[in-house]
Amino acid sequence: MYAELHALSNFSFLRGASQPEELVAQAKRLGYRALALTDECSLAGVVRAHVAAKAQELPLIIGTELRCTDELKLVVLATDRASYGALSRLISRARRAVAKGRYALARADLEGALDGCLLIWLPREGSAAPAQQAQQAQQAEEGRWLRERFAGRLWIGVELLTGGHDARRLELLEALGKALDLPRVAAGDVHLHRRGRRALQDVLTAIRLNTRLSAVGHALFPNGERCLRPLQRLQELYPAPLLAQTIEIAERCTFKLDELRYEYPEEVVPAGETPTSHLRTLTEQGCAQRWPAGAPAAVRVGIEHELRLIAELKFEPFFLTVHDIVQHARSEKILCQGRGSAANSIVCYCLRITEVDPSRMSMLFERFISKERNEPPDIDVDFEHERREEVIQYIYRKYGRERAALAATVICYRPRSALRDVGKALGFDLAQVDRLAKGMQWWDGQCIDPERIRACGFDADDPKLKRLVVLAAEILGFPRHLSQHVGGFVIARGRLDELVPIENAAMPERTVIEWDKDDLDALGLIKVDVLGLGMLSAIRRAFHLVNEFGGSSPMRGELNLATVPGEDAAVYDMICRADTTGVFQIESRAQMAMLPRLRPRNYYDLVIEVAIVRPGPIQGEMVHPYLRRRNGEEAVTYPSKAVEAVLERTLGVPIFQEQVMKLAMVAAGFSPGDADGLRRAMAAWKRKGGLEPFQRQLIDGMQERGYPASFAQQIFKQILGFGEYGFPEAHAASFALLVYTSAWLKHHEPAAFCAALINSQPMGFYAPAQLVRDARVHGVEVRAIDVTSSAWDCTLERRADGRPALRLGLRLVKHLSQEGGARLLAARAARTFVNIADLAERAALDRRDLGALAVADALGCFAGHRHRAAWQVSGVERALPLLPAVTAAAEGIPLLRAPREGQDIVADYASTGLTLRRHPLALLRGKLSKRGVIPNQELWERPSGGLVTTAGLVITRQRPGSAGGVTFVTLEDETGYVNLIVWERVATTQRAALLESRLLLVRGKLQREGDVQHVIAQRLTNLSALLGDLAVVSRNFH
Amino acid sequence: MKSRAAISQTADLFAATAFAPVLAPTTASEPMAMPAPTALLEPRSASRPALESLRAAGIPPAPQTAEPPRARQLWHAVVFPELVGDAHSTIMLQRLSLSAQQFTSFVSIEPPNALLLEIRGSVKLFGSLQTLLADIDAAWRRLALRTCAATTPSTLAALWLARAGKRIHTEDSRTLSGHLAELPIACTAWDIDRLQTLRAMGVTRMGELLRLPRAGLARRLGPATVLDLDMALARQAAPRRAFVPRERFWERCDFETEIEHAAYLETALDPLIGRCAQFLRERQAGVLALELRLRHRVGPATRLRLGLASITGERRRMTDVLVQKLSGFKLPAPVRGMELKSGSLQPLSAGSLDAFAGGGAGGQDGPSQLVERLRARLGEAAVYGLRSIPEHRPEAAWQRIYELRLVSARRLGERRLDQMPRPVWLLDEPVRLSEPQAQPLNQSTLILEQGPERIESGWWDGKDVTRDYYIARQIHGARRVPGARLWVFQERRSRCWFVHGMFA
Repeated sequence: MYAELHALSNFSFLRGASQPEELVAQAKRLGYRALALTDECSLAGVVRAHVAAKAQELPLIIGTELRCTDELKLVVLATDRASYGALSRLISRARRAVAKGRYALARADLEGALDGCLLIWLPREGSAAPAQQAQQAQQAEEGRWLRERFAGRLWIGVELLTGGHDARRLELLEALGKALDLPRVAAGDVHLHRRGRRALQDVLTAIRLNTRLSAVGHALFPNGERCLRPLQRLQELYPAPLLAQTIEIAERCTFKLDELRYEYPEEVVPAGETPTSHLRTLTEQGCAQRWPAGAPAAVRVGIEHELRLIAELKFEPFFLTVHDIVQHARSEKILCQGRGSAANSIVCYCLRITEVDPSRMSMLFERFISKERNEPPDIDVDFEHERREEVIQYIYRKYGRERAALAATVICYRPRSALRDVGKALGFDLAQVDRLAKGMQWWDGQCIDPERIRACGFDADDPKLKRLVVLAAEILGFPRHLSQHVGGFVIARGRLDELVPIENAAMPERTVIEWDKDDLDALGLIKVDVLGLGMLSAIRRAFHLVNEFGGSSPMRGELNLATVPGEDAAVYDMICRADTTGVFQIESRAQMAMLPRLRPRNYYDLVIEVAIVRPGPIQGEMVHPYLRRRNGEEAVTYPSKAVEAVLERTLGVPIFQEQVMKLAMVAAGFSPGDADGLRRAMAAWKRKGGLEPFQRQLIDGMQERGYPASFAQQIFKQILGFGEYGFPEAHAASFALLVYTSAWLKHHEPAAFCAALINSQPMGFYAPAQLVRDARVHGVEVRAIDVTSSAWDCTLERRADGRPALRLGLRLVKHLSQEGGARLLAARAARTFVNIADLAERAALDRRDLGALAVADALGCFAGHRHRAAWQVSGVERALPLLPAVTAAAEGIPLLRAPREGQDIVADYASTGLTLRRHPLALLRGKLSKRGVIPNQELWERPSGGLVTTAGLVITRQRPGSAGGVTFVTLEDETGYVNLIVWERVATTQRAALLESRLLLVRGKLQREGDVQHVIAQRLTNLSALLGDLAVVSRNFH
Repeated sequence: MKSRAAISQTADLFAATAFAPVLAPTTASEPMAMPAPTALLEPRSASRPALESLRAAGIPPAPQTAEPPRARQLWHAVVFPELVGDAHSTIMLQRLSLSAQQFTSFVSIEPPNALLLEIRGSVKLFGSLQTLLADIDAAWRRLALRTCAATTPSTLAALWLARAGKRIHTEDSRTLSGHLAELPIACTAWDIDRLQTLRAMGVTRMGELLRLPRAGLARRLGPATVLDLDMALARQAAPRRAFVPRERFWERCDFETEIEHAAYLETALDPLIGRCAQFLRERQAGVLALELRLRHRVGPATRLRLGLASITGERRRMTDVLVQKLSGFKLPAPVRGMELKSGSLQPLSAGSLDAFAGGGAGGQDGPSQLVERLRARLGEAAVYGLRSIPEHRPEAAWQRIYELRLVSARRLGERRLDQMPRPVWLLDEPVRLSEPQAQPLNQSTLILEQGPERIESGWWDGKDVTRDYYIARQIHGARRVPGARLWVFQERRSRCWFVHGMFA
């Protein structure tokens, strides 16, 4: 009876006030025959609508609302694949023409651009009486122009929204239609799925116009009629023929998003070869390199199996595309490493997409894509984070911008932004809004708690504030704009813009498609993830430093990912001691606490270690059972033979995402299709929900097959935990290689490893201060920054005994410009500096750069102490052309007191973030002792369970989502670290001390289990005042 | 208490070098703090150009040898730590400086939170310095304000000491360098760059700063720094601009006999108004309000507030309004004297100047005068203008305005062509249609001619409306005589009907 042909979702940012899914569900509920999603010059929301419409069995029409620069307004609907392509292309064109977030469309752009699309013309409403004549003439002109081009697929849209003049409007449009011989159709200009969203729609309008609601005036809609209205009401409003037209149009629009087929690029195959033959050739070549003496029989069998499966699924071009990218990176000496289920194939090992040697993996687990799992191949490639951009630009160059683009990330409202924007719209002043938003901490999660608002000093019962809380909660999760995905590339054979609209990203030289990774996944489209990984930069740098330094070790000179000696017992010893500061992945608090318990002794143990300290296994309560079984405290049993096959390699305890998926199939009777649906729902439930149907199916299925309900519940909890942080075995296996490599470097080449980590900052869990401290503990001599010896990066210097010492680099000097640093190094290379004036003149350094060097104590060789250096550099004036530099030679140096140790330490921290002098707490030890504070090292001598008082600089705070509100804090003193566990109750009541302290004093209970020790905090005291100006910055993590 | 002491000590450990006795500088350059006889310039006599030229010369002149150090000026600085430099502080400082004028005629505002008072002359007046300082302190205490004050012969020294929380009161400029030595350099409130440069050299106290050679210091931190130090040591005068309070006209006259009838007051008022108009003319200013206070033998004064429709300084208009107000006014008690006080002074615009010129000629009353007459008769609130506000809710779509300007006669609410017309006559409150008329569809009483116009808006201020508006025609009697056109609506939640307005 009625199909809504003009509906905007909240993907028309700050216009639509309902999610696409809500529109679909409401249209279905009201008995609409179809719904067109017509967001303004965008298809960003269509995949979500498509998925919902498929589930609800409501025909969905893909379309868009367009407003030309001359105000001509249209709704365009796609009828088939070709017209969808044309529509997508037009949107891309309009969006690419101007900056991110906007579009520009001239009337001329419509010419010949919308083949096969249906058009609903929305003539303007009148504005002022004297202009009426001119306006009618213009309207008629618009109509004629459109009719000439789109006759037979053009309608006049009649939108009656109870503005008081509906009858007159209808009359005018009927007359216009008759004069131009155009059919009329009813439409609703829908912005909300139900009337209740009216307030939110008003708020969105105010946010869009950047003003207060009370000042928006007539830009607000006068009423809530732009909702999906009940059929009965539509019948009262519209003449029946206009309603009937909607069905006629809907029936002509048969296009479904399912029709989109992804086709791989062709140019990765040379002429005369097929994808299949070319992949085989490359694989054979690689195999010969990997196994010069001939591959073992098992490997040969594996290769044949994999190639057959790839051919069957026609995935060759995908492997070849990834190979091409990796090949390019390698030619540019960019370190990379693939991960993901397909990345761990022997084929990928031969293609050098991964360095994970299958023989090292003992072939323990299913390594490959499987046919029945029906999922697209998954290969993510990590590149050095500082050089990823080069790879991205290579892809754009090779495939062109109309064929390659990054996936989008939908940036949504979060508590802070929601409070800020809604608050401003409701007329709170900026200071209030700021105070409210700041009250929401990084850890408060995705909801707005009135309690927090009260804590910010607001009266939560004030009606204005209540409105704010309700509306801010309503807007949470609403999309605000599209941003670029970290590295998900979509590359197509033909024009990508006919598959999905492409728009400009905020970064220059970047384009993104309008869909995010869930959208692509839902449609089965494939992307290649080009990701940046800091540790790869660090490892490459460490290899380089070691190879350059040379020396006695046999590996020096040719160290790389493939030549790092495997399975070194000393390296595993170090890992078991949790001596892993700086090591990839296993340096976090939680990982360090796990290492002495799990005691990894081989590569596969590292794979488990990487995967087990994650929300999935933790929430599924799988960690302790696994540890008990591993330590022989519990028998290894399996509920059934089928389950044994799945869980054998993890002692009967499910740890990896793949195992859980497999369990759903063998133990709960999921079909491969169900399992795939579960996998996708799992990845998205935190953002969108939708796991409940699977819960029933899983639990019922398992109980039917005789498994205990508790087991089923546990598996489901684990599924929830995998959610956002799903970490499959395939990824863990790739990461484990980097864990081992970085651990090997730390153990055998600590100076190079530390230098490489600092040179790759920011990355990892620890700041340079902790990295340097750790290196010194391990016997590395660390030398201070000095303008006569330091390079920009940290470097290795040869000691008298031939071992390397670490020389800190100029990069650590705060406020020193990189250009200034480069000039300094160039001038020094020409001739050694004789004094500060010489340095300043030849390196052409300005006072700012010189001041930075003086404050960093890098001029000590010339000036004595940093105070004298500061006096000298501030007197240096830039030489005028033709005149000799005016130096301070004529002037004496006044008596400046040498800095005391405390001052030096403060200045060191302020300028370089670390000190090579004593630890700041060493100076305070006397005062701390008076307060009963025990040095961290001495805690080991105290009995577990006793009350202790300890204190230290706060170096990290972490509040993992999986830890049930617990905050982990690490404190550092001159003797070492102590780990705190702060329960939610303590964190809430002593929030200020917890969040604001630089120096924290803690009284609490000591708890020790084997080699793992922490303090359960009871009372926190902020002692930061003792530090004066000492700049200690804690790194905070979720 | 104990812990606080510990904290401050240890903060020192990292933050600052404790002050130690000054060693005689060994360098050839002249140190800043060498005791030297000072020449003082009068702030009022030191012309700005002269000082500019001093600054422009780069290094300020070395102190001249002149008279013995008997300071001719004495500066009292008071800092209000609770003021934080926002807009509120600015207003507060102005108020406080008004209040400080009871102690001296020379008060200077030192943003963000201090005042400087020149009190040499006042010392005699108040008997002694101690009495004066006690009185000043008491004034702030009455306002429940926390303060810190210092008194020295130098402006900057007083200010810096007060900022640093040192309550030092001295008339001897020779002791200044000693007093300043222990202050942290932050008390100068110099820009952060200068302070950071100094800290990098390990200079954290004024004493260390004063020991540095002046030529070297000027080169590094600029001549202004050295000039500041000279001012602080009272070797150089520091010109200050005195605070001028906001002006109002305020005069009184006392009668020899008590006046019992308002009519007699007019005559007495005339010279006051004349002086007021003269006062305004001299300042090229006008006012929007006047206040007349009638003082009685007992009881509080009677206050008469008069609003003017536009800014004026015109004698005739002011007289007119006052006379209108007084005529028919019943005096509560005999009057012994009266005061005329103007509102704050407003600059006269070109338009009001015209009126000013024309008014003297005694021409016809303009609209402003008419409004004033009406107001004086009917009351201040009875005459007002209307301003339309873009809003969907009819009752929120306009606003009363009392300050009338000729240009404000804008057309009421530009409406879109195809929207329903709205009546000009809107009821203050919608009137619920009584029972028999509650079914307007029953065509015996009201015929809905046009509509509905649905309005659902205004939830944000707690007055959400959800209504369907119609234009309705009233029908009278059995013969169905057409009557007035009404603007009615049906409340959507309660389904009740209301009349909201009437079409002409």
